[in-house]
Amino acid sequence: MSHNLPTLLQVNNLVKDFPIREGVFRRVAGSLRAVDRVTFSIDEGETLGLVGESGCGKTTVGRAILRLVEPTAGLVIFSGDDLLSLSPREMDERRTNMQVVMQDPISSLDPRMSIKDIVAEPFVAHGRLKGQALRDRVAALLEMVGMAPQHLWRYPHELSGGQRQRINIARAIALSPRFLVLDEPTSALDVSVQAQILNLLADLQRDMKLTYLFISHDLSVIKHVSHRIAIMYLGRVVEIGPVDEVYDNPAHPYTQTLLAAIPAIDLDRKRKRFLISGEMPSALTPPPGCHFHTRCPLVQETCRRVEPAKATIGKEHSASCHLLR
Amino acid sequence: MGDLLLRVKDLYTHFYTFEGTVKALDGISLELKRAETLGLVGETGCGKSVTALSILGLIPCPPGKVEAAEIWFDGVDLLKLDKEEMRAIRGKKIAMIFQEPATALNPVFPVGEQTAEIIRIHKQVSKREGMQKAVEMFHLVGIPDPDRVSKKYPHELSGGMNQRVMIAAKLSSNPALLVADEPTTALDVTVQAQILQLMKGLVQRFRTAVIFITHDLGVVAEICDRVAVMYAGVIVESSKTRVLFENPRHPYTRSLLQAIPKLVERIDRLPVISGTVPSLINPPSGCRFHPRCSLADSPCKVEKPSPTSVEAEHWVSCFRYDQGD
Repeated sequence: MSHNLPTLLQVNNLVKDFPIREGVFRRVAGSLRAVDRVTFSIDEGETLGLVGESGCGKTTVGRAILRLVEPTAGLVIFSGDDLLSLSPREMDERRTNMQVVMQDPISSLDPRMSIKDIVAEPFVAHGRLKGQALRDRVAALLEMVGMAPQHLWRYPHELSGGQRQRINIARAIALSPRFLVLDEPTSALDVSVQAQILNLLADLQRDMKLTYLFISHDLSVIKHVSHRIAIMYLGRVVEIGPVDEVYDNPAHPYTQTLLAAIPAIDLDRKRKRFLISGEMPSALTPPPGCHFHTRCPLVQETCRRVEPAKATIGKEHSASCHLLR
Repeated sequence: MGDLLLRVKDLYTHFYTFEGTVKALDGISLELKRAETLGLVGETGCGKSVTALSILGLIPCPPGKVEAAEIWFDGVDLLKLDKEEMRAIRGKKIAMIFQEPATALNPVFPVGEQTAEIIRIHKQVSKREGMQKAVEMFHLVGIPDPDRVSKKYPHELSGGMNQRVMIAAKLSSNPALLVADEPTTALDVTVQAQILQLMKGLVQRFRTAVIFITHDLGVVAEICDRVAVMYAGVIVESSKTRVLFENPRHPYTRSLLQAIPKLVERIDRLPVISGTVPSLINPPSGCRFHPRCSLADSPCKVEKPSPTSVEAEHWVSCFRYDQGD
């Protein structure tokens, strides 16, 4: 793994509040904290998996890092630059190094643009290439993502889900970025197609020395792609660590229940049957203390009042739970 | 076999569309015993849902056309029934739950009222008794505070709660067969685990047979007694669940199982199935999987393989299933 490599992305206490508007004048009546003091770093060439159930804020983290939504507070340092202090124009320049692949492969492609125009757009937008050089580069990109040149003149609706996701990836890697946010890139795909896309992403990471933030709710996929993983619950990172260590020795009760809940194909996999009751509370009214206390089977009095601090479990492995103190 | 509940023989469902005839099902045969759970798995478009809808007589005609040697259910041939007779069976003896509980429920009535209505249709009871029974059913499916929840509208409930409501409503008539079409696909894994646990308990208690449609082999491993794997409108392999995972014989089943990222072993590249799912307007001749199959031989291209018994209750439709090791 990449322990000796320099840190590419450092995220410190990232916060994103969304205003809640009410009434005729859309007055701001309150706010919803989607991301609550999230801290992590990603080394160059590494994949950090960000896992959690729907509504836990994982997508907002990805967007806030790229400033596709403006973070409320915190620090995002990418390759030495403090991104949140940059002007929009400066940020645009940095974005050539940071790209995103979204979950839904069809709504992220303009239905009225041909594949050629879609993949060429980043070069046009940043005024990098034109003419024959541009055409050559687009054809080369298509080849890199495993598509035949005849697809150049097609439109998104003519492609299958897997092919569309390949086009999304081709567009994302067009400007040779260093960092990709992959937001559930295979969730809309069948397993056999998912396998192709995951292999493609692994090849590109190796060949282009890419760094990934891989967001997913699928714990098997996350296990397959990640070097380290961070588990989110209701806006907060509850556990972070090297992937094998977290899967073998999950420290936070939420991580334990999450892993126990995966429907297992490995029929003999040893596991604690440890089902949690209830569902994730609304982010509008998060419970006090530890966010997980309403569902935690091991809940204690302190958990209901005091937010747990981060406890170190091993090298690079930490979790936020009172029981670990 | 006195225990037999459903026998489908040579089911062909075709759709006559502008582009041509979609041969969605190409000779499906299956059997289901009382209180047995059969998993129907396969990728998007393989015909799992069409199989269920054909059995239930819910394929719109035109454009669809359902032909079969027989669809025998609990002593009657469903194909010989008229609309009225079929409607009397549907909902009462055969119930169905869908992937999106929120869209299957009526948004403008409280969930308790909707459930009570279903109960009143199938059992001649008063409005009050219906409501009482609905609340009882809600209690049974683990809805907390069923009295209060019964007065809520679907949009006020979470996906997991709505799915519990659906299960309560559908099991209220004590059907002999429950068709569940991806009932947990839209849910988070912790909630999915709860719903699977609940369904397992209820079908045992009521001795309900279940056809469980899913694309997730992990879910199959959790809940199904037997499983049938579908590819392009054909059942390619069927067996007891454990046998399928331990000793898959059809090349498609094998590749499908290999394409899933595993939690235990770690591999760098996922084995993929070359090519894409064929169009069902012009399906490949012979075995529909032959263009993507690594074992394909000349007979595979011409002749359609029929189910061959590999061992007790294990059938595979492949000429070369013993060549794979």
